[in-house]
Amino acid sequence: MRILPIIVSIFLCIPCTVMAGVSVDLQLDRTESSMADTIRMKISVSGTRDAGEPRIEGLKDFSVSRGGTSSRTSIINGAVSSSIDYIYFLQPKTKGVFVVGPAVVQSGEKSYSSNKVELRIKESAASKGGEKAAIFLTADVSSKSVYIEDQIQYTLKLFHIPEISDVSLIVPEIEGFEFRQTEKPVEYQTVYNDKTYQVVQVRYSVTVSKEGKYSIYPSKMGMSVHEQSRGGEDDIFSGSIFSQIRGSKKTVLSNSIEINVLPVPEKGKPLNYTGLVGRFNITSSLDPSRIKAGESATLTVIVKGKGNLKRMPDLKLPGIENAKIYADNPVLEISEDDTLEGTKTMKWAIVPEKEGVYPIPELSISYFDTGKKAYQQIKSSAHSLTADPGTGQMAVSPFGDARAAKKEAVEELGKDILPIHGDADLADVSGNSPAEWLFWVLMVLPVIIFAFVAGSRKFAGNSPGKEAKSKAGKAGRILLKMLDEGEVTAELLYEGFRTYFNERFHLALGSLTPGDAAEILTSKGCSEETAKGMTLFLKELENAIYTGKGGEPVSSVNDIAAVIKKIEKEIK
Amino acid sequence: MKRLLLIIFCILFSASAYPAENDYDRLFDDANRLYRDGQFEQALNGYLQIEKSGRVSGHLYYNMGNACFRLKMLGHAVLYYERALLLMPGDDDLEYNLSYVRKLTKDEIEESPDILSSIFFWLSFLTLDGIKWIYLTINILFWSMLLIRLFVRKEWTFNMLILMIVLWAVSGLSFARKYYECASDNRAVVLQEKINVLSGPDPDDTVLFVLHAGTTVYYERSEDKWKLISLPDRKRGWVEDNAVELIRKQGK
Repeated sequence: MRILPIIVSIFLCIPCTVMAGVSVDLQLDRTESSMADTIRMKISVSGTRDAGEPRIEGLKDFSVSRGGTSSRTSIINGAVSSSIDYIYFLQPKTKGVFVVGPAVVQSGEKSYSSNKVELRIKESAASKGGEKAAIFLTADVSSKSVYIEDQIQYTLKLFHIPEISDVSLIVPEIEGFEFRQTEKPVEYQTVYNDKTYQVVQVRYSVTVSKEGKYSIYPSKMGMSVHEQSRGGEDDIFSGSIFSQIRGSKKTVLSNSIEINVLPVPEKGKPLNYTGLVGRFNITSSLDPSRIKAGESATLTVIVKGKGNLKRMPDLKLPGIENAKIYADNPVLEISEDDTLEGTKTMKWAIVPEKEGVYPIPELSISYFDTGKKAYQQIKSSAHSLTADPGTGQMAVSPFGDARAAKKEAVEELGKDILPIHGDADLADVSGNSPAEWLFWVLMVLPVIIFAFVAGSRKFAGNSPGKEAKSKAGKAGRILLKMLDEGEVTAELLYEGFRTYFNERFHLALGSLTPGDAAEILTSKGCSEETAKGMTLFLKELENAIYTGKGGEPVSSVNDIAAVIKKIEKEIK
Repeated sequence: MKRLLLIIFCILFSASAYPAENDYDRLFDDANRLYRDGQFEQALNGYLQIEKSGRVSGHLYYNMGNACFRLKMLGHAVLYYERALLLMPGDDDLEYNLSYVRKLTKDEIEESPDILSSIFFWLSFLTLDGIKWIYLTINILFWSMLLIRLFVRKEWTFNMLILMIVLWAVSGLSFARKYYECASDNRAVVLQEKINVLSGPDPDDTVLFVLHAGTTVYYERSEDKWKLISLPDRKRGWVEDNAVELIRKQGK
């Protein structure tokens, strides 16, 4: 039984939900029109179906006729939503600027008001035109003189009396001009040269990226025309009931328009100017402005305005001491109704690491104001973030992991050269640089030094005489070293003697006989006793070799060493 | 003694008779200021005055290119950017601007690929002076290594010597190649908005083809007040003397 009150409560809540969201919206199909045109007005009342007919203010200068109503009910996210649209057609009585609205509806005891819309009514075009065909196309621009990177509205209007279908449109392609359709085609009725025409209006925003004088060539519109044709007078079947609808193909051209695209002036161009043209304002907020250290506050900067929004730069928040900054991806929102209008929202999460007061600097942006024809610089407010002693736990970036951020291709929106350089770094090139001869001197110098050193080694340090002398000096030492090393065979010692004699006395003996040795020693200044001693040793060695004992060790190595030393002392 | 002091005094102060380096820097800064104020013509005059004095730099030519671009002198802009490129190859701003102004030129001329330039690709990032000093350093190191090798016959000296031989050969060839490139650089830029290229050095000769400002051509020779130029696709013809200007000034 407890469930019953809950069910009753739910049922009672439904009308409350429906009633809670009552809103009234007023829309016009155009905000600019001529006196001959008919303007379609739609008043949408959502959140209730019980409201009465809206009472609309600001219509005393218009003839108003009702165009019917349409209602719908839908369920979104479990909530029932009802709305009703009231359609009206307005026929201006006079030219001027009018504020249409608000529309007021009464629901229960409450009344709800809509927004207001400004409507500009111009003189009827018929007053300046001549006789026109049954179908014709006109082109018009919001301004014939425009600054580079600025945008203009290019409006095409197809006036037709007969019924048409299969309409196709070709807008001109001009280098430096980018056409973008800003809204769905609008259809309305107008009076032109006392004839009632149906009008199909298509609007483009045109971005110009090249300066100079240009002609926007005629746009071309193709269609099938259905004209009512009646048979001849004798036709027994003449009469509206039997009239035929004939379709024929037709193409109409608009007028061409001359446009003068002016460059933005160089004079007074701010350093941070990025090519932004239009009118903008900047607002900023810090939420919250008082937090605990380690927690996060969000700085939101919103740049709103009208112009070449895509040239709006992403602002950079400078680093703040003892605070971490996490930048969110900037969001650019372009108005659906007008592609010139939009907002760019940039957010930063600021996490102070310590307690204290953190000044947050102002951020600035520069643009060229086409209205004032001057550069403007707008700045966000400076803020102050107060951090109280925290819990010691650092906050995580509320924008999530930067690595997971969705990447977008960088679109090139304009082209220009990069600025001049400030460093002169001038060098005198009028005469021959001293560096030139210094280069060649330094190139040749190492070669000369090397040649000198290598030559010196070759011709002085390493001359054949000296080399031989050096070898001769070493020969005795080598032989003595061999004897010192212990057991030496007769063959080895004999070979050692032959080498010693060759190197010591610059000979080239293939074999050494005892007689030759004595003779050489005597000729080199050795005593006969020494020569005799050497002869004896050599004979002993020869005996050992020729008797098959050449491989046995020699016993008298000490005596031999003594003789060698004696020779070394005695020779000159 | 007094005479000696007088001589020293004269030597020291004779330098002040010439404009100091600072004067040219100031002139450069003034020209930059004029440029930033949108007075491009006056800025260009300032830069030209510095160039006339014989003091040049890549930055000077770069700024001259910018001023010419702002004055819609596309041919001169390309010329000065190209001259800046000779002095500071690899400068990002310069490469961006040069590529941008080249895109604005009207003539489409297909360059034939140069195999040697592809092999010596690093030369495009270095000036002749840069290569020269690199080669000098390696040359000194190479001969020093040879000297060391004379006295120290160890394995490391052998390995170092092999390395130095390779470096010495590469830097030597690079220097030779760059020197050749500079010596044979006969590129010129079309300065006038539109020029007729004639079959001979006479205004009455047949017009062979038309070139537009900023196009790079090859200068061959001069005759009276006419220059013979050619294009990579072997088109040749005569143009008036002041219609084109050599990128590399002769003798530099």
